[in-house]
Amino acid sequence: MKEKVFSAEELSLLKRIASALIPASEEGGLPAADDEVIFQCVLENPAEQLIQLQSLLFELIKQEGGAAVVTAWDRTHFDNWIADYEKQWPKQVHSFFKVYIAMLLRAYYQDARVLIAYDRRPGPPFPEGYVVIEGDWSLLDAVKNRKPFYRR
Amino acid sequence: MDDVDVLIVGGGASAAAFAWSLADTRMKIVCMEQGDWIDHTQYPATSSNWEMRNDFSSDPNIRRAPADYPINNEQSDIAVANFNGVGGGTILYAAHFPRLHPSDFKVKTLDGVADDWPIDYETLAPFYEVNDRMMGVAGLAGDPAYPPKQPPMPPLPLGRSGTALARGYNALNWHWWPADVAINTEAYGGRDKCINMGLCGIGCAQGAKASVDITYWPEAQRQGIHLLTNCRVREITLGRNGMATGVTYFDKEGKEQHQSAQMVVLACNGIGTPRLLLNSKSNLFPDGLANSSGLVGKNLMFHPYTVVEALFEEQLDGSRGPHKGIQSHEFYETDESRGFVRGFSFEMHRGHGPVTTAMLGMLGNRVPWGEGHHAGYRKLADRMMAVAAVCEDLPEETNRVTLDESLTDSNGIPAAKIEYRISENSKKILAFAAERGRELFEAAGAAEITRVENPLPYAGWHNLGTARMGNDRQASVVNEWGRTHDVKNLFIIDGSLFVTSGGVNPTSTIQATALYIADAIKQRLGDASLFD
Repeated sequence: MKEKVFSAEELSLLKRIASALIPASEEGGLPAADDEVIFQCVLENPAEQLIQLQSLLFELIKQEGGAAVVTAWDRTHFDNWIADYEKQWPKQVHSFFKVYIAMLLRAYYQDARVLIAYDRRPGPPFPEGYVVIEGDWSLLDAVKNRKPFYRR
Repeated sequence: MDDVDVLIVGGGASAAAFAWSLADTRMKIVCMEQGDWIDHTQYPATSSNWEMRNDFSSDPNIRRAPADYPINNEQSDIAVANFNGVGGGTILYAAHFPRLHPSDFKVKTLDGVADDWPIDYETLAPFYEVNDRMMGVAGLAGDPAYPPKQPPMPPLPLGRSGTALARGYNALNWHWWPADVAINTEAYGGRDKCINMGLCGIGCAQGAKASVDITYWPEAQRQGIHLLTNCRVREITLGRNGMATGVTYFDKEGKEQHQSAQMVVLACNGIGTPRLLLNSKSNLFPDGLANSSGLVGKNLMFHPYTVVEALFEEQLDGSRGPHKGIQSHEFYETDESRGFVRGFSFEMHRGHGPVTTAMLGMLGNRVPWGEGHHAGYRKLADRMMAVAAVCEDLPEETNRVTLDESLTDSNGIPAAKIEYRISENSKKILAFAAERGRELFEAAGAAEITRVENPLPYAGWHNLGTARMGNDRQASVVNEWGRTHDVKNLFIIDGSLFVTSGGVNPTSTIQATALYIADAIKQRLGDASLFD
């Protein structure tokens, strides 16, 4: 089981960070990124990537005194801590956020509830495909009148 | 297998067309491909996590499939992209299928740079036509940027993105036209019409996109061509008379074998072909086979790309639909007042999928962390699109493919090392194109330019020029019909033989040239002058 990569404390912290990065929204019924289904999708990443994430998380919170300390912070303290990192995004930010945000976005924006909220059909593109309108072909009339301009 | 008449190395775009054309000679023809057949049900489009998949990445160093060979890109401004398997690059190409222009074959004469090709547009025209029919090309006749041509299918839908972009082109009075694409817009060749999945670049699960594993190869196999998969050629062997005798290869079990042949044909693309020639050293050719000119591996040309992306307030297509709906050749031909020679084409990118939109939005600080995340994303979803400028690269001997001193593939064969720097002329084209891209989107009514990437560092899709064609054996590797100057039964039929790159995607020309060479061989079989 890949979730065994993380301790319960680390999982709890990862979920708290996920929720701070992408919170729930009542508009459109959007879940937060710590939603069970979405978070499970994060945990389906290859084990070596999860181990890398764990190592980066350890590095990140070590400077704060470790997981137990960060977990005990109240909401304001935690939100301010996250906000400080956002100011460094994307170039200067700690690598943990680069790796974790990429994982979260890949999991979040394939979730059926999220896709439906943005008027996109969930599920694989094949075999149903999508509809693309023909568009305004009268725009081509201006070009059709142009003389050939290729060189020989 | 017993001695064969023709042995083709590589199973991609040029090999398939060549084998099909030669099939009616009834010669014994075998093709060896280092990869396998691709199961279309395994393409990313069949899964919900299609934007997460790396197994169909165009970067072999990321993909790292058993069929792949590593490439050292450390000394290159652009990383090589490819696919190894039956179908080759056509498995992952966008199926943008423009032809070269007549002027592309005579750049020395017209612009005083590089070299003219030993053949011209008129020579290839009948083979372009055959190839368009075999692959199944959609487009529209009447493009003023080209001599007359008639694609067999109607064009892709313009869509919301194409309509917005066309508005911009018209406001500036710039040329645009529906792109020629090897994608079915109606049932054709036993394949159904495109269902707009928009994932041409990671494999078409439906089969509406013309990859050669579902176009040429089935036809060729029905006519008796043998296609052997999971066979990786190590070197071309040479007889005392200086003629190729066949190849040494590793079979599926990794066992070294030899296949003898009367004629060897290389179709391994602009990286794989010079790699194989350079790995085929002998007393007669200590610097690599067919390399008396010293030009094998040199003159590598990519197409440097610049991408300009914009955000609109109106809804666009997002990732739905094939990306290359329309193109512009307004800046294709040389205009000395621009400060550079040659030019570029613009191709359209309809938009992004949900994950890519979010990723780009966050990287560009348009989608914040926390409470504002959803509102930020909503402004971008299905409202971004891009144009990519395909810039003509000119040949330079310093841009080259050599053998890496330590890197090897899984069979221990030395890997390719790329040394490539974007030239001053190409840099000027890229900068000019980036400015025109901005101008275009402003004219199209875009809310803002969200990204300019110049150059695109991973865009080494078109590997050209590393075994160039020519009449002068000191200045080229193969003659005007693809036979190497040095070895009279060794042919090259892939993008290696391009003399110049043009400013468009090369697959259509690669295949037309392969068909032309097959035709030249057939003519010489008739009068027994093939090996003269």
